Amino acid sequence: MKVYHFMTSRDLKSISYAFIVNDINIYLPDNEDECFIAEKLLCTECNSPWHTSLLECYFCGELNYYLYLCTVCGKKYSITNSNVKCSCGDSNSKLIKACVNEKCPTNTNAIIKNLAKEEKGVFDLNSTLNLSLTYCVKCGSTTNHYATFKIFVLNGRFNESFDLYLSNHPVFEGDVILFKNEIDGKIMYDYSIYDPKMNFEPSFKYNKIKQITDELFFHKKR
Amino acid sequence: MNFPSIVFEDVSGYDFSKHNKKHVTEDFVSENFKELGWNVYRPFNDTGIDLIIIKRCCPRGHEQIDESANNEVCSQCGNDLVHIKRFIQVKTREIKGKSNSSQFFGYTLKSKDFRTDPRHVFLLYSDYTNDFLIIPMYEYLKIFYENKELGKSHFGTPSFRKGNNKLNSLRKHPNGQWVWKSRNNARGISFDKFVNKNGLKLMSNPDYDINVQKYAEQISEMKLHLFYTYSHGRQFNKELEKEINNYLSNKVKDNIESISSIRSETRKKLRKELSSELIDSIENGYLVKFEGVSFYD
Repeated sequence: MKVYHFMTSRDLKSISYAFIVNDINIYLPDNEDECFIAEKLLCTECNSPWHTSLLECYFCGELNYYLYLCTVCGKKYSITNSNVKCSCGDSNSKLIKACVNEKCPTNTNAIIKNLAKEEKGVFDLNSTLNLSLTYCVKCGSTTNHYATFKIFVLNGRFNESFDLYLSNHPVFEGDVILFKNEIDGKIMYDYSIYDPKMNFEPSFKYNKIKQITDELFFHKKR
Repeated sequence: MNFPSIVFEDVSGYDFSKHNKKHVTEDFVSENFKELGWNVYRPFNDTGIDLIIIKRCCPRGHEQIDESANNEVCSQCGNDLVHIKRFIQVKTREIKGKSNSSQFFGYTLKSKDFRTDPRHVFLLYSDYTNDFLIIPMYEYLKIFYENKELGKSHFGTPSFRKGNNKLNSLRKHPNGQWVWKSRNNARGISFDKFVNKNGLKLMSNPDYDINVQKYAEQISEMKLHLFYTYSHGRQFNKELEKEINNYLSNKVKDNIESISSIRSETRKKLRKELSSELIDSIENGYLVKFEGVSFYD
């Protein structure tokens, strides 16, 4: 009888990286628990990912599009080419990482515009005129929360030892049981959000972890 | 109950130097929470969170803070137990100054550290004091929201947005009390409610889990107020502060209503103005790491 078993250290790393590649954070237990935590910071209103390293303009909330703007004519250039000069040829021209919103006070208010120019633009590395994302990229909400799942991974064919596994492990309602199996030479997955009142038989319908993370975190059904 | 307790009996915090100290603090914090019945999880990748800790407790807060509940229901009120979860961001710094006078704990927090989930907790620790200062996000912001001048010097200054606003106002007196001191508040604000067992009790409030959204909204309100009250700091002048605050006074409300359409309009303009090569280069080189952010949305 093949028995479900928890991942070896290498298996666990492999599964963890399959989550990380989908921008889901992973936390491993610092005790004997045979599970891990998958976490993602999301908008509380629309469930979009909340990117804390994405910058927005302090004044108008416009996002950083990684562009240089000419201080004279406003023409835009890629920041990958740092030696570029604006084609307008004006002697006063400087390329700065300005806010791209034309109506932003850093482009319309003389005093604030001057301040932004002195700081080499809102999105310069040393600028004091930007913040980490404050308004959701999709809906503009200002609240976010950590979505988390405690995940137990079972490797092998489904059989009666599953009940034994549950009785020996701290699986609670709402925890995720991730099933992994090799079928016809391909690794396939299935999962269940544990509910003690429900029976679950894995059908191994997923061939990528992304399909599962999309459903768990973003409620995207296949 | 000693909290924190000296879980590594063979070595003292004084013995470490910068080059061999890595992970010791997180381990020390982790072992202390484990001793009190918390399950501890450590990040596999760099996430900005140093520990996630989980425990079962009574939703009405009946369990003792040094016990782990093993039953399905609270032994006192019969309510079903709930899981509480905390996302701990550890700030370890050497405490400066002589122990017979006031010592200070200097640390830096950036705008990206202020998420609105009430389960996010700052844990400030210096192994020279063996004190944990455990401060839930809601409580941290509340202090600075209620003390406007402190809030302005913490969150309003250019250096906060630049990410290098070193905060040196948190002091430990020789009598063991922790106080936030400033020029405008000579007596200071007591931080004792966050120290060790007090902080643990405050952090363990299950209401943060039961009413995440309610607290998130309150945290957001305080955060926006604090972030958008401009202070000229050392670099700029009062006139500039006035000009900027005039603009910011209506900005927060306006932005919540219109930010999505402002951003959408900008993307539309950029799509017209930029070459497809430049758009592709930005999409693939920079925006690729920000799911949901695209010129084509």
